[in-house]
Amino acid sequence: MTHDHNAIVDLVELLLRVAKAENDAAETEVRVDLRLAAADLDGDNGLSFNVAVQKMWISLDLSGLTISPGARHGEPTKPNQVDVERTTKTENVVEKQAHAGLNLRLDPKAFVGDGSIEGGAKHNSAGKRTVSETASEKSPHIRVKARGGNRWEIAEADGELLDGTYLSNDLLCRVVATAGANSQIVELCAYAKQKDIVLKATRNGTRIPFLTNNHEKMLKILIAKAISASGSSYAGTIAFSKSEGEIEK
Amino acid sequence: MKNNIDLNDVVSTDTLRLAQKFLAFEEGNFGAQAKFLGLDPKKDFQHADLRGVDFSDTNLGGFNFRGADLRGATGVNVKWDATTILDGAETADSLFSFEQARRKIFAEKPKLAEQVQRLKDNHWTNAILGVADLLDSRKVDADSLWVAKTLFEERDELSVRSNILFFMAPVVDDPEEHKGFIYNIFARHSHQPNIVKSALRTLSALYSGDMGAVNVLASYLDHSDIEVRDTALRGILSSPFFMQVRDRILKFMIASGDADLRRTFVARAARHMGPTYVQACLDPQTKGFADFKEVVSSRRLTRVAEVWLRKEKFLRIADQSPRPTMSLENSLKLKEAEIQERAANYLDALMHMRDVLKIPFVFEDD
Repeated sequence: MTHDHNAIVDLVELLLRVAKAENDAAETEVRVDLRLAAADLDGDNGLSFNVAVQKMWISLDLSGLTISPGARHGEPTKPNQVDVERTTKTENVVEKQAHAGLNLRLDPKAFVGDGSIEGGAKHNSAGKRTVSETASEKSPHIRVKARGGNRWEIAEADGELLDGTYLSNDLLCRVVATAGANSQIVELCAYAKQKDIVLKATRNGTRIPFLTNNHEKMLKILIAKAISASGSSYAGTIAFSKSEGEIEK
Repeated sequence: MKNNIDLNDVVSTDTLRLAQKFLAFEEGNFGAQAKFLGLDPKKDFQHADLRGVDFSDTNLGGFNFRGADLRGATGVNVKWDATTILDGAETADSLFSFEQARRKIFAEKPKLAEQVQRLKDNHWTNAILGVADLLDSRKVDADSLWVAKTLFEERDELSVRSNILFFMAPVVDDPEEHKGFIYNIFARHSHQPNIVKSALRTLSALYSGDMGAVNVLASYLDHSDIEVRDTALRGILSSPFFMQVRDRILKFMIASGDADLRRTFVARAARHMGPTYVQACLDPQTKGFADFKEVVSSRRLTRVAEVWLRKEKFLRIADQSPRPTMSLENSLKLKEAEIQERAANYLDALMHMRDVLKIPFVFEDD
């Protein structure tokens, strides 16, 4: 049985489902829906704040359970083998030594005329080899990425705002009971740090420029704190949603 | 946690009204703004986005910036101490970056603290010689720079501090670290004009191509010390971002008593506008750029027109092959109508600069 508490459903919706795995009776599947969108906050005289999220976290708290190995959604596993590109560059440097003993180093590319050097100067050509190595690795961006501490980070590749369904009854992980546990409870929380909230102020649909950069940052803190609705216990993070499910034995 | 409610139900009407009032709140001081909004320094700034914030004239003692993004945050006359929590905060290129890095390095290398102590205990002349030796370009390393920077904080004498800045400028190799050191100076020593001037000069010389540095220079434009103001103005005038901050510096340019600065301002603006404007802004007497406080007379514009027309004609003749047979003097003669037409063009150009860029040129007929 699961209970979903979505504080601001027009911004974030998190739904949790737990059910026994079909192919292994000892395992339980944790499936999740996660929907995100920007939402408007309307004030007096046509003032409106558009609130969106740039990065969100979901964290899983398990009681009497542990995550099965290799069963996490969005594991950013690095390939063990990486292509290394090696380039070798050879430069020829011509040195000219004047009679007075002054050493002049000349770039051969500068000789666009007849290429002659003043009589009396002795010159020699020396090779200089530069070797550079570049490790190249292409990896796709993982929108819902497994992180340490039973957490998942949700972000777009280029810092774009989160908008859309990021998990649709997807298997977040599989869990197994720990020995001797009295109860088996799964708790899932979706939260964002206030620095990852994006705020746009408009009046009658027209963007309002902030007086200073300080104004913009301060207002963001005020609105983030108000959204969190946690009052004096506010600590810079906003819990948007909490779901819990108990696994029946 | 309440369930399935709309964003408008979560945020109270009072908060929205406060937000509305704040949008028109003209105070830019960080501390005053926090107070206006009723924010709690101990809790509300954790994980906050404070990138590029100006902390000028604020005591940050007791502020908790845990996990906050403070990159590029600067300020003048900023107080902060051990009660300012910066755990997990991103502080690159900010006024905090120097102190954070310094604490880390000194914890790892206690011998550096002993070296600082020795220089601190020396007579100031020996301290300067010690710094000169430390920052000798042939043997300077990262540790020596940290010792010099820390000594800057520990010694009160102006001469020692100025010398440290002087010796340090040519040997720094990490611009972010160096900027962090300079921002730290602004935050902690803004009441010492000579130190501020040295730091402003260093910032202008090395980082005028950095918008964050230009913003810091701009924050000194209303400083009580005229030399500090002019040093900041000079730095902005040398910046590639000059046109972006032009409106911000205009009133300070107008108030400046330094004719050279005003001429440099005209030069930068004219170069941005194009060759005709550069020509129009010539001061035939000084052969440099005009001072916008001097009256633009028709006589001056005629003289400027003659100078440029003659120069153009000379260049055309010099390009001709074979050489013309008539004498150079005859060749360079100009028609009066041609001069007057060019002078009228220059008058239009200067008026356009006054209208568009708000440079207060004074015209004879005004």
